[in-house]
Amino acid sequence: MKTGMIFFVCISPIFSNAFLPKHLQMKLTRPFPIILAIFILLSAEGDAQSFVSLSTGISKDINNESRSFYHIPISLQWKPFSGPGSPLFFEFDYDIPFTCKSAGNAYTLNPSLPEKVTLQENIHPYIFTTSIGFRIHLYTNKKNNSFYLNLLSGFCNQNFKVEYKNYDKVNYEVLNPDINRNAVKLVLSIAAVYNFHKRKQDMLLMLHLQSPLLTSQYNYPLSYQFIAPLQLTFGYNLFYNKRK
Amino acid sequence: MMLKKYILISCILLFCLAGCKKRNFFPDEDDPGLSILTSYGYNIATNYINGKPYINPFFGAISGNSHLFLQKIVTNSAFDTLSLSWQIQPNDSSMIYSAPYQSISLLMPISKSFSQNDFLALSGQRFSSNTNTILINAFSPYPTDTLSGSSNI
Repeated sequence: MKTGMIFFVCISPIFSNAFLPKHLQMKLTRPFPIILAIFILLSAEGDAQSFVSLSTGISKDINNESRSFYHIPISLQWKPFSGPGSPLFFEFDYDIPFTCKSAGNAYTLNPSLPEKVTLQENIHPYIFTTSIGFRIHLYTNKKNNSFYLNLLSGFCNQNFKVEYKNYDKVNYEVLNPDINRNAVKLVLSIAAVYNFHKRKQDMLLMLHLQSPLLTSQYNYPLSYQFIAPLQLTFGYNLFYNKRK
Repeated sequence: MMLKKYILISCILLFCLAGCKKRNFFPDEDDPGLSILTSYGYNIATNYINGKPYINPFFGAISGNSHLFLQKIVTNSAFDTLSLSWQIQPNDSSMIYSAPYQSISLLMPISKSFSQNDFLALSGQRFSSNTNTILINAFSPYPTDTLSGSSNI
């Protein structure tokens, strides 16, 4: 638990800014770490069991104001260590994108063609994240359903693939085009996990929020920014190496 | 006293860095060696000549990219000429020493009374085909090359 506390105290000031929209970043900077620090103090101990969990659901980006990116997330969590002193676990997230559509204008010098055409712009943002984090036990009810808070840090690859539909590249040029971007940077994330049992199966419901890539602004003004996925997933836990 | 000196030096450095200019060249994946087409005022001019990419030179963080040279050329004919010129250099390190061209100009026929306001009024207009010409200036061992073409300004 001490490891987790030190880890969290170190990253909590970063969390406070990373998750928030730009206009709220300064306003909410101070109370956010304090509230989360209270969570730390209230938490008792880590999960004593090793497990693997797999979940999926829907994800919405909250970092882009002009457009919304939606994904189908597939989340795999693996907690290899058992025992209350080892709350660390690994998480792997792959987000399958829905196509995000917008428009772009293209121009030509060829006098026999229309001077300007509007093209459909399709953006496919692929996201893969590898994280390490720890679980904080918050609550367990009489039915042995439990509520956890996960705090994670890791590396995320966001790969934006941009294409213009029916783009005549020989005769036309898109003005201010979006371009592909592929980057791997540090991210932080937080998740609320509800573990419950039904018909002898261990299931989970997870609300997971990840920061955008922690990197400086790109020089070229793109119409999109790095994605901060807010995921709601449902899945199954497979416990092994149980301890009583 | 020393602290004031450091603050003063820091302020001067900050002022200088704030005025630094960037190249802001963003490659076009479809046209190797050319910049993508933008309206962000990056002052980048790229083109192909005989299939080789050319770009206006970058003179460092202080001066930035070489600027467009706009000129009204008075002629003896019924029309004067409006010239828009860019200095160019190869945008390919392998052809630095074999580049004959030094500038490219778009030449438009204009009336004798053409003024600054007339120029600003050209914004958004499209010129009909073959009414303008392109002039490519070469270094002295090579002849000046004149090509006809269409333009859109």
